[in-house]
Amino acid sequence: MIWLLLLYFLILLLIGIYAHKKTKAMPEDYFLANRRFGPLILFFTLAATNFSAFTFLGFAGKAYTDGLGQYGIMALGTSFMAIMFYILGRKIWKIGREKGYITPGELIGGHYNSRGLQLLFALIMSLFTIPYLAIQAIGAGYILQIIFPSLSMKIGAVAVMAIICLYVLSGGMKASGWTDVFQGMIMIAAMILAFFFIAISLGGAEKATQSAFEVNASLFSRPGPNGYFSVEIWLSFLILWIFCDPMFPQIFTRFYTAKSEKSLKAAMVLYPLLISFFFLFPVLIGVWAHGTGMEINNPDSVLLVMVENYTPHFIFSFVIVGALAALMSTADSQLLSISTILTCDLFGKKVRYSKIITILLTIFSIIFVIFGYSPKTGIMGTLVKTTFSGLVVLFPATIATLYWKKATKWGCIASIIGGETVVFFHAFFPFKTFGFLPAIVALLVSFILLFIFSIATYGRSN
Amino acid sequence: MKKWWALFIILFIFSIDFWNWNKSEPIILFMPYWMWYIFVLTISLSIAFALFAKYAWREEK
Repeated sequence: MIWLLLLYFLILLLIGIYAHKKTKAMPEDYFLANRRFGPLILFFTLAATNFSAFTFLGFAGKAYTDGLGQYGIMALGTSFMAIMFYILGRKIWKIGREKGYITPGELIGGHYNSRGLQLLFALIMSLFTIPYLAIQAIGAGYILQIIFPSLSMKIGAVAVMAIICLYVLSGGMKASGWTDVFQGMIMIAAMILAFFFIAISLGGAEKATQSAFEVNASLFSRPGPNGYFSVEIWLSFLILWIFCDPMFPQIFTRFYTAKSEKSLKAAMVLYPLLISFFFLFPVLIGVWAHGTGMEINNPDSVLLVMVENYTPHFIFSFVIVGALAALMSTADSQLLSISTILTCDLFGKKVRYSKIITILLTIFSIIFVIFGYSPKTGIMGTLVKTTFSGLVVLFPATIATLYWKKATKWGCIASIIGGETVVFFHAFFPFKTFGFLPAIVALLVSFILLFIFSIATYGRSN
Repeated sequence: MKKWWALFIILFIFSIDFWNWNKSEPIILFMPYWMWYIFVLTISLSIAFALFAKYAWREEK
């Protein structure tokens, strides 16, 4: 297993070195791969960036506890999200190319000629993504510990973050995008292999399903054994993924990197196609675990436990690398996008500054792990728990900037601040949301404030 | 363009399949029928996007 892991790390570093040779020290080249990502690279980098360790390990865990409904909310929500490649992606790509924008804040703030709005956008995106980057480091440490049980989780986390930092520093967006293609392929292959080998070991997919059904039939229907998948929650997640995913800084900035509209079109078509089958595998494996009679103490480990027990050792090794690939492809994109935003929005388009910030963010993540901060408590815990809600309230300002002529900077500012206030208020003083996710309430408030403040200030601030 | 948005809205409404709630059978091959429904809906969405990209998405020069 160690050789497979070393080979994987080596290939990542070699891609980083190759990207370094192909990257000029120009902002557009380093931050956006010179806006030259073709259809295949853009599709893979959007997919690998969005499919995190949660997709790989967490889906199976959630299906283990709440049943097959997990497939629906994730597959449908994420597939519909691809329509945003047209609604937002096309416009962002076009305006970015015309005006030379690199960050989301430049586009939103630039439209209203408002430095304050630009900084607010950058602040919100960074605030909710940096803690997420830190918990990726912890996840990497735990995955490496499966391979090396005697190794400290902290050492594993430091090693993975150092490798990510190295290849991001070497080749910027080209390194991030090209490694995403490699990591995306590993992720998909690992999941397919895991599924087929487990199915064969359990006597076939039908028998595996039948065994699980006999143990707990409620896993096979909604709302599931714990009543989690209500119609309100279902609808909430569909809306959340459609509006929130493009607001991830690592997704938003990738819209700028498309070589042409053909790249965006291909990504839009292929995204649901990949999701339709890729998301089936972890969910089915998670539910099948019930039919095996195994006791799973930590649901998030169910996929790895199943693979360890029901596939040959080399498949287990490959799946571990696949999980690491899922995690690293998300983390490298987060690291690059946040360093890009902090650099360009605060100091201007300076590649050298961005490299310093990349190193500082990596050190921050490492400190987070070394000092054993819990990702579940304190302000960091609140930010991690509210990441999706915190980012989704950026959507109304974004869509209004691109499509609504009466939108004003005050409307956008009120929309963002008002939405975030709802998010934090609910985190500390939970209020009734009538079965919907609090993020949906925040999104609604954000839209209403945008409308009211824009109408009230239209003609004055514009 | 309105026809395309109508199509996407219809697909979205179909994705909230409340009429399939509390049902787990029949199981076809290795999945309950409603999971096949979602699988087919997702594939349909991809086909709809492909047609949209070909016939409605005009690239700017």
